[in-house]
Amino acid sequence: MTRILAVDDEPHILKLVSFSLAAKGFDVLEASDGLSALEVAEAEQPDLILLDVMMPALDGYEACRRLKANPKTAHIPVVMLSAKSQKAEQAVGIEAGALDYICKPFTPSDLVSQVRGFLGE
Amino acid sequence: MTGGRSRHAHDADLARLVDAADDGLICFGEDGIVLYANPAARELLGVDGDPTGVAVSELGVPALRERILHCLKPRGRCGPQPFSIQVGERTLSCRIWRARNGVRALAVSVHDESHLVSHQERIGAVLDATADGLLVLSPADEVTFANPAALKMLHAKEHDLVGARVSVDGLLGMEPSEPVLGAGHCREIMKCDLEECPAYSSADIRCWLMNGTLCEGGKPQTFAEKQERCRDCETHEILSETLDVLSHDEYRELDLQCNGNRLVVKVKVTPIIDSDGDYTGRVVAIRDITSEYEIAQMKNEFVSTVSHELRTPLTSIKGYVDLILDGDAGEINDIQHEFLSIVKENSDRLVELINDMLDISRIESGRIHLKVEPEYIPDIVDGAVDTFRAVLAQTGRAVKVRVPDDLPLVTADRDRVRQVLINLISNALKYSPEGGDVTVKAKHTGNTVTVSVSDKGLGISREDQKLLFTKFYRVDSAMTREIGGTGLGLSICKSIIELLGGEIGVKSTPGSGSTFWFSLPLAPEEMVRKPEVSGSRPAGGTVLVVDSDPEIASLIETYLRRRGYLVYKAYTADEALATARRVKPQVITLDVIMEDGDGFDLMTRLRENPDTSSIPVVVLSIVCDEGRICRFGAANYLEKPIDSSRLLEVVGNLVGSKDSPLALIVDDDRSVVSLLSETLHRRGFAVARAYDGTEALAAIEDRVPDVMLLDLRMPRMDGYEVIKRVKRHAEWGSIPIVVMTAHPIESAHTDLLAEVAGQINKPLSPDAIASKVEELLSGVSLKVASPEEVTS
Repeated sequence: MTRILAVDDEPHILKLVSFSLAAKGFDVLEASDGLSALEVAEAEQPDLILLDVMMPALDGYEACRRLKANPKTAHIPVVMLSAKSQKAEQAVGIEAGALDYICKPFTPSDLVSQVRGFLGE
Repeated sequence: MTGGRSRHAHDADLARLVDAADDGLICFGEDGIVLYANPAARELLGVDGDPTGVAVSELGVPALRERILHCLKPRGRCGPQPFSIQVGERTLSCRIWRARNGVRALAVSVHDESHLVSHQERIGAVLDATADGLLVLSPADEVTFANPAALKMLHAKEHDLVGARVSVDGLLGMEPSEPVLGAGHCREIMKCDLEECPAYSSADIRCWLMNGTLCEGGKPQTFAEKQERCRDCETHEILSETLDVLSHDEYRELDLQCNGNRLVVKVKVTPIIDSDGDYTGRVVAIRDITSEYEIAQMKNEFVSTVSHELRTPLTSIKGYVDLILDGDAGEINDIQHEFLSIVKENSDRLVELINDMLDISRIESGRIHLKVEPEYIPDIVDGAVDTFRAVLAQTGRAVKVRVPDDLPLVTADRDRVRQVLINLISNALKYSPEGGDVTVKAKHTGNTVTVSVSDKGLGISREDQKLLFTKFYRVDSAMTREIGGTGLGLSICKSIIELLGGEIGVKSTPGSGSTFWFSLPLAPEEMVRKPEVSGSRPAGGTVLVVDSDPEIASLIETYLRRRGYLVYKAYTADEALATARRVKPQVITLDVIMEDGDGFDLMTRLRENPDTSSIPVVVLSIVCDEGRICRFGAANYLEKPIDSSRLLEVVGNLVGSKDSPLALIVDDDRSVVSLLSETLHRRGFAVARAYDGTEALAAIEDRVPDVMLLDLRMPRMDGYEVIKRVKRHAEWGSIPIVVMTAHPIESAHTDLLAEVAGQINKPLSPDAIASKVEELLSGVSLKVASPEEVTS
C-alpha cells in the first residue's frame, strides 16, 4: 500500500488531509511539526510527503531542505502545502527541493488526484 | 490734422488727454515748485486741491521730496529707472523725466502698483506655507529660490543653497555628472554615519542635489559606486529602478533611508518657458511622501497577512464540507446536501474574494511581476476556454471560439492574460440566460490584436458601463445578487491589461447582450516572422525548451509547435528541473549560458536525477565546445543563431526514429480541438487540426492522417459531407473515422455512419477517445512505422 506522510501543525487540517487520502485507500502517516516529520520520514520511508509551510520551530521550507540533504530521505518526493499563494513563495519551495506546490484551501478530491499524479498512478 | 487747427487747440487736446490719464503726472520747475499736477497724481499722492505753485517740500510726500530735491541739484544724477514709494496704503512706482532744451524742470509719472505687490506677497506666503519643497533653478541650474520646506527637507540653510549649482540629472539619476562642489561641503552636511548605514540618507539627496553624486565619509561617490556598495540593500533596487527612466515632467519616487530615518520623496521637474518661448530655468518640486508610503506598505502587508490567516480556517471549512458532499463521510439526505452546497458555494466565494483582494493589493503596490513575452493569442484563448471544460460539459453550453490562426504575436504575460480571459468568459457565462452560448473572437487591426468575449445576456446600461471597471462596483439587480462574485474581477482585468500597454472596454445594448474586449500591442517585428518548416510529416511529442532569454525560448517554441510538438518553456535552471520532473519531456533543448547558473551544471543535475536522467538534452549555444558538451552528456548540440530545419531534424531524431501516428481532429469548437490535441499529444500522437469540413479536406490533401476524429455539425461543410467525400476517395477510403456528436444521428445518414470506425457521444472523455484511437491504430501502426513513408 502506498504510504504518505502528511505534515501540518493545524490538527484539523492534518486530519482533513489524512482522512481524504485514507478514504481513497492510502496509508497515511501524520506529523504535526517539522522535526518529527524528519524523524518519521527517515524511519518509515513514505512514498510521498505532503508538507505544510508555516509551522512553528522548523518551517516547511527548512524541513524540505533537510529532507533533501539527508541521503536516507532525499529520494522521497516532497509536495508543499500552503496558504501562501504567491509565485515567489512557491519558488522558494521548489528551490528547497519540493516537487510541486498545492495551495490552501484545496478540494479534497483534487488533493487526492494530484497525489496520484505525483505518484505516477 | 487740418491746417485750420491752431496750436492752442492742439495743446488743449493734450491737456485733456493728460487730465484723463490713469497714471499720475506731476511737473516741477527748477526751484521745486509744482507747475502742474493731473487729477490722477493728486489722487495717488493724496494731495488736497490743486498743488500748482506749492513747493515739493510742502506737498506732504516725503519719499518723493528727497528724490526730486536730489535731481534738482546742479550735479544731481537722475536715471530713468522706476522707483517705488509708499504713500498711505499704496505702493507707487515712479519715474522721473527731465525736460529737454536745457530747462531744469522735471516731470514725474506715478503708477499704482499696490495690486502687484500684494500679489507678490501672496505668492510669497503661499510658497512659504506649502509643504512641498520647491527649488527654482536658473538655466545654468543654479538655485535662485528655495522655499522653507525645501530647506528643511534638504537640511540646508538658504545661503548655502541659493546660488549653488544643482545637478538635476544627478538628482533624477540620469548620467551622474562631475561633482561641482568640493568634498568638504559634503562632509559638512552629512547627518548620518554612512559607515553604519548601507542605504541612503537624507543628506545623500542633498549632496546629490548639489553634486549629482552621493558622498560617503566626505568623499564624493558617483552613483555607480554607491550602487555597488548598496548592492545587497533592498533600497538600492527601488532606487535604480526609479532612476532608470525619467522625463522631466513626471513624478518619480526616491526612497532614501538611513539608520531608521526614512525619507521617501517624489520629485517633479517642470521647465519654465517664458512668453517668448525661451527656456528660463526650471522648478523642482520635492514632496515628502514617507507617511503615505508607509501607510500603503502597512495596508499591503495587512492584506497579505489577513488573507493568509483566512486561508487556514477556510481550508478546514471547505475541505470538510467537500468531504461530506462527496459522500466520504457517509450518506446524507437531500436537504443536508442542499444546505451544505450553500456552505460550499459561499466558502468558494470567500476564497475567490481573498484571491482577488491579494491581486488588487499586489497590483496597486506595484509588486506584480509581469512576465512579458511574445505570445500567440489563440494558445491563450485555448488555455482559458479549456478551464471551462467541466462546467460546459455539465451545463451543455458552449464557448464558441472564432479566432483566426494567422494572428501575429502580441506582447503579453500569458498567465495574466489567461486570467483576464477566464474572468470575462466566466462573467459572460454567469450573466447569460440558460443555454446562451458565449463567443470569443480575436482580430488583428493596426498595431494591436483585439480579443472580445460576447454574450447574449441582459446587457448593461450606459451608466453602469462607465462604472463597471471600478473596484467593488456591481450592477445592482436581482440577478447579480443571486450570482455572487466579488466585484473586483473587472477592476483587476483593467489593471492587468493597462499594465501590459493595452486597453479594455465594453460595448453593450441593454436587452441584446454585451461584448467585453481588450487589445494588446503586437510583439516587435523580428519575433513575428514565420519560421520555415520543412514539408515533412508533423511530429508528436513533448519538448522542454530551456533558455534564459524569453524571446529566444518563444522563437524555439514557435518552430517546434508548428511542427506539432507540445512545448514547455523554462527560464531558470530550477524551473527547468522542476518542469522536467513534472512533465517528463521526450527532449530538452538547453542554452548552456544561463543567468542563474551554468547550463552545464543544470545538465549534471538532470543526469543525476533519476526522473530526468534518461531525457536526451540538445544543447543550443553560441559557445561551441563540442568536447565539453559531450562529456556532460548532451545528445546533440546546435549553434546559435538557430537554424530551424536543423533544430527540427535533431529533435525529430531524438523523439523517436519511428514517426508518430497523425490524428486529424475536426471540430468547430476550438476548446474540443484543443482538449483532444493535448490528450493525444501526451500519448505520443502528432496532431493536425481543422475547424470545419472544408478545412478538414484541405488538411487531408496536405497530409493523409492515420485517424480522423470528426464532429458532425459544423459550419460550411458538415461532418456527413466529409465522410462521404473521404470514403469515395480512392486513397483516403481507408482512413479510420471516429465520429463525435452531441446529437442523435439523423436517420437520413445512418447508412453513411455504417462506414465509420467508431462513434463517441459528447460530452467527451478525452482519455476514452485516446484509448479508442490507440485501439484503432493498433491495426495500422505497421503502415505508420514503415521507414519509406517516414522519409517521404
